[in-house]
Amino acid sequence: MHESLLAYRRKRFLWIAVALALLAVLAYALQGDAEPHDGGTWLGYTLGGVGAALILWLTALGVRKRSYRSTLGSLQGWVSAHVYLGLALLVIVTLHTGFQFGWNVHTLAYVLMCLVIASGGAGVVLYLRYPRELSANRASLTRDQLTEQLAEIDARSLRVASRLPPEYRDLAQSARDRTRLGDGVLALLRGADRSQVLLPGAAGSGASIVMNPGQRAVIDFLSDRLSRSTDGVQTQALTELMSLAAARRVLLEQLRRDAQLKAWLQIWLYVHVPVTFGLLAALIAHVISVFLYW
Amino acid sequence: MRALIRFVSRGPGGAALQRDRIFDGDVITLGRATDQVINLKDRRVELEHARIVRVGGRCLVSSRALTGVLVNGTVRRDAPLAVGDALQIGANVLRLIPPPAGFDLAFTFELDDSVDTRAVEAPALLLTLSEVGARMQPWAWALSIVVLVGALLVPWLSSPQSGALLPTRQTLLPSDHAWQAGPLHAAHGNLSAKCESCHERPFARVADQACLACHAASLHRHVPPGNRQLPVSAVTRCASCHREHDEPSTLARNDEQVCVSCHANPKLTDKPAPATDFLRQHPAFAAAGIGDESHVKFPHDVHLNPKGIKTTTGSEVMSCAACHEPQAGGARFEPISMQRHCQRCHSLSFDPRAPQRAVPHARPEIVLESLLEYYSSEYLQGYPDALNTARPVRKVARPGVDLNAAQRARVLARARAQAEITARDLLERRACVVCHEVQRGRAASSWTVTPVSLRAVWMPKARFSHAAHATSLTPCKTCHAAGQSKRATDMLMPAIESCRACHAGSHSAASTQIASSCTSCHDFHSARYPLWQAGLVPAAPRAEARQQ
Repeated sequence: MHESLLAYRRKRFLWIAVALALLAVLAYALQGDAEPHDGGTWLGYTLGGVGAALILWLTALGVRKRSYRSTLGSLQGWVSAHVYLGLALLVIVTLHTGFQFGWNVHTLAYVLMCLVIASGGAGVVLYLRYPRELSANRASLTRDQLTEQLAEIDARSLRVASRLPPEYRDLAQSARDRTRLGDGVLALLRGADRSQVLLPGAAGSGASIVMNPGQRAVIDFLSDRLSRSTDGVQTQALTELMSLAAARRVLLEQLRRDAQLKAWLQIWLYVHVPVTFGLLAALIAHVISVFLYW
Repeated sequence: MRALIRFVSRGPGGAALQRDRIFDGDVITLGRATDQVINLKDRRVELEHARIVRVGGRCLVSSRALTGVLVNGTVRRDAPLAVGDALQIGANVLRLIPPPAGFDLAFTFELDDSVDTRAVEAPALLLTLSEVGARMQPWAWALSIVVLVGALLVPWLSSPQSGALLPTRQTLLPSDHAWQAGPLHAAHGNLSAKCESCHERPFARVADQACLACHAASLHRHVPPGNRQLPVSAVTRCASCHREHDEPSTLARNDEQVCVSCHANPKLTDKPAPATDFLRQHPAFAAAGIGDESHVKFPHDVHLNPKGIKTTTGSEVMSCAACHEPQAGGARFEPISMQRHCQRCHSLSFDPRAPQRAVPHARPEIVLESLLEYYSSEYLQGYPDALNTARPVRKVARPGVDLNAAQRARVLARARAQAEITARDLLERRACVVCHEVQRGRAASSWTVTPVSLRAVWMPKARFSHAAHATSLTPCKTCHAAGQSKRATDMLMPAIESCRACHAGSHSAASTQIASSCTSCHDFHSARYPLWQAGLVPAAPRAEARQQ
């Protein structure tokens, strides 16, 4: 039975994180008003130490998930703890700041940490939502299988088109060559289909390149030609070509949606991981500068 | 349905090898999944690609797969099958052959490379973030390096301690000002944001010397420098109490942790008892143990008799304020003065015939001197019969009477005798002795009066303002039981319980009590102790200097 990483071991790490955060809030609320509650009080140093240790441990997930032979807890447990303790970190470090912010190294480290936590939170939300949709869309086929089916359809289209006047072969060839999904970060995220096709012109006029999202231009063209076809053999070939174009459309749609979902499942990591390294650098600068000018 | 499936494969040299399999069942399934009757190991084929069923004596092929089935070269979804038909799924070819007796269906199954369509490649699609060139590593490196350079390296090079002195402090580029957690207090604005003014050595806490560089001239020590009972480190670090870069900026902690860290343990201090909280743990007021050393006789109860006291102008009800006049500011009182406060009733006159005449309020020899002067002058000037009269009578001027030397000596001896009699009367019976401790000296006609020392401040280590406590609800007698005091030696200073009626410690105060920390009453940098930089500025006169 699948167990969500959020529900791992009856939410054991949720309770640990809540306890940790509550403890920090309680200590913060109960410290006297002897001095402003910033990082320079004994509690401030304690919260800062716990926060720094948590950051290092949370970063260590990147190492743990690559060491397949590790027996140091299950990876699912690590990720579950990573999510919950990462959220507790936000509470602990916010209390560590004592809400003292400014244009300085220390607030830089805090802002970078917030970015890391926010991107991680986005990752959790995306992972709760998209994998189900992803497998529903792909219907247990891998991307390679989808691509090979596409190749199969293209090959058949070319073969069927060769029974027709040469413009149809050009049409099939161009629809294949000018298929353009993804091909850019934003296009992947938007799920753009920027395919084009070289459509034969009406009698006497030249061919023109038109946008062909969802193979609509090809299908429209073929259905137009089909409706005017009087030759039985040609009609049969056109029908076949048309059905292949429709199959191509379905496949491309599956591939497009698959790529879009996968891109969303990954894009947050492109913020989470580099900013984590920026955070580690800022943490080093924060700790060193605090003690350099003690 | 009973079907014969003949698997054909090509051996070396193209020889056909055949393997027959008999199938009994309703549906022949074809697909890539392992549970299919015919397992097609071709990635272009779907898991359940097609099925062959027998309906009413005819066999039908149907497929829901996208690529469908090629029946005799034509893509079909549903098609009836007849002997001689060829079905193609991917590179797999099924050919229907006449079924042998007892079979409903028979076909050969062959992998035909010649119909393989893989010669046409799928279009090159860039479908993942990494395929379109998105990378984490360069960003991670760039961000880390930018942060380390901008937040650590450049600021360090801009600080004087590094020796590099990059001039970025006045620019928008990062400097060591980027390390500042909060702004300096306005009082330190004169440091003009030079971090090294206080942060003298890297990785060392701010040293007291940095503070004293400016403050030594005006700042008093907490304890005398020679006090060996105190561990120096326990009280001397300025930053234990004084914090900079806080927001809101308070400069000093407002709790008693710094005080209590030593005063909780009497071994660390020269105090008899620990002091941690005004209500829970605080020694009794030291004034109670001092005892009165004023050497003056003064019954408060007589003077404060609510029925009044007899004066030269009749009966008068005196109040505390008749003698205790607040100083400007109201914290303390003006010193008691014989001239201003006592002499109106306690006259120092000595001659009933000359009531305006009074001896000065001074040492006995001066009193005697002034009496001598008085009587000599009286006797010589106006009393020709002074030789005969024991007591001078009313002065009657009789100009032109001269005395010879022998007569003058006799008159002056007479005057001296009278002066000594009057002095003894004043000192020992009538005037001085009423208030003072008078002792007769060894020589004739000599006395000593014990010097009076009135305290202006009874509890010198505490700060107390009468003005802050003077309300209509707290008359003087709330704390000072003067109305019942018969003798000047009565201690009229309140005990700690009086204060505790309203004040409690900062940790022990109930909502109806005033939370008072150590510094509510005590100064850490007490003016009782020398300045840090002794000698630079003349020490302030001790506040509790005794008033004569």
